[in-house]
Amino acid sequence: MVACTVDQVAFLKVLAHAAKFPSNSINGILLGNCSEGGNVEIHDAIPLCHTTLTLAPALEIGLAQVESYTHIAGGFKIVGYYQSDARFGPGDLSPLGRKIADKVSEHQSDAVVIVLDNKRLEQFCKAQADNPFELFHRDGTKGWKRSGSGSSAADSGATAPKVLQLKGNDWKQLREEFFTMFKQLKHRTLYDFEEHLDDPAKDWLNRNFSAALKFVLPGNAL
Amino acid sequence: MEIELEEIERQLRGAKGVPSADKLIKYLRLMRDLRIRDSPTVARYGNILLRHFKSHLSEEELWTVHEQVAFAALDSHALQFAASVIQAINRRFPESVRAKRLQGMYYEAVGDYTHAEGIYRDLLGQDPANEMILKRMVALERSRGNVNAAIEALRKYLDTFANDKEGWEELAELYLEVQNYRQAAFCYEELLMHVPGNSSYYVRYADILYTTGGPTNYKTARSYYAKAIELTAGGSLRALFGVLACSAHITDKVALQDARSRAQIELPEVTSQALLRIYKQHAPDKLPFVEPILAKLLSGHGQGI
Repeated sequence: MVACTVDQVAFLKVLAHAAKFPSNSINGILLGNCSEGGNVEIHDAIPLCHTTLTLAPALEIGLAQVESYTHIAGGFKIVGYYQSDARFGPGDLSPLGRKIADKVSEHQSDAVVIVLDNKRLEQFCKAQADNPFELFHRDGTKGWKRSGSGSSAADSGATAPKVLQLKGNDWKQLREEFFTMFKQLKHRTLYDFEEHLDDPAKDWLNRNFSAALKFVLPGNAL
Repeated sequence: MEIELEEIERQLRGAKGVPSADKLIKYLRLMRDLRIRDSPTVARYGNILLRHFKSHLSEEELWTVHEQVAFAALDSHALQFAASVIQAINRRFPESVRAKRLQGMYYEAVGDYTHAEGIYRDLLGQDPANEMILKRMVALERSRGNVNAAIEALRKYLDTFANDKEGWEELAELYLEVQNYRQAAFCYEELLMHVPGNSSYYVRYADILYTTGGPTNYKTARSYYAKAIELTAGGSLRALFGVLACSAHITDKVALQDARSRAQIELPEVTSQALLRIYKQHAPDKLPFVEPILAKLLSGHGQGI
């Protein structure tokens, strides 16, 4: 089964980004690796914008800095894009989101898109459902399609990831971690690239945030 | 004031048991003055204040706080709590348009847009130029996802209330949502006229032109970014990067004769040095990421990033 497997820390960063700016649309970059057979592993999320999603400059400079980072740090690359809409509606990839995703996939042809679905997020928080994220993949020249939406492996998108998985598959634990982080207001210490542009001391790599997660979550090997 | 707010928030968080009335009152006052949106916290502390310490407030401030807490409760989706606060306001001010607006907002929050619209149309029937209610109509269409209807409503509103800065900012946002860059740019031209000293308007306007693209737009954007650099004494990263990004797209050969052309040629280099200085001082760990980008922008002509 072709899959996109996401580390807890990456999902937590996306949730933290959304929690920090609940009335805004947000987006960011996903870092990781692609392996043969089209499997994608996502190890980290870099939050980019919360106000100027529709404008090119912050996006271009952010993407360029993240790319530099992957070249220097080594071991992983840009493999995807995430977005969450301000409006409380089902998670779809907006036309603008599709354009941005296209740009991101210039870096990586197997790039994936993950959308945080607000309605499912509500259910996730109420423990009525597990996964609040929706996976999209590139269907040849047809654009971005929801994965696992019934298309068979015989389609042109045969090697694109069809299943979104959480590493370790423990959604309950992820929920508890998110609640702990939220109660401790740790999401306010997460900075996106836009905040860095307005105050360069703010670290869009969020190294302190990731390190603090280790203390917030006892016994959790991140 | 922001430092005062941080201090008060710290004290409130560290309080054992119920926080003191004057700290709560001060917090809510600062939030009103600074117009910061942190609804869950305002709702929580407002709830404590209204529950335990009503008598500490003057009549006027008591109801200002009620309204503030009602907004915060609606914004945090604490609907039962919001309803109780709004009911208290209604009992005290049964004929008030402001109170009826809150009722409308309650129905918006529960998703009953038809009911909300009914309330607003009634109020507009009595007073067609009511600023507050006209703005609610825009918000209603936004919540429904009808961006084009929201744009129409907001345009009509701005025909009458052309000095509403936030209105023009929101209209620009809506135009950008539907990728109508030309109209979004027009909104910022209005804003620049109204508030000529606001550097972030120069940056946003330049961002829109840059996103639109094309040789004329890159040149115009560059001059607006340059103005923003001037207004912020070289402190705006967005403007500095913006100048470089524009320059990289501008391929005209420039004659060296006059001072302005020479300045244009030197601008990217000077800008790049300014960026490096800022990163060295405030984010040295990011320097290795930024240096290659600057090198590429300085050398590439017409290639962009």
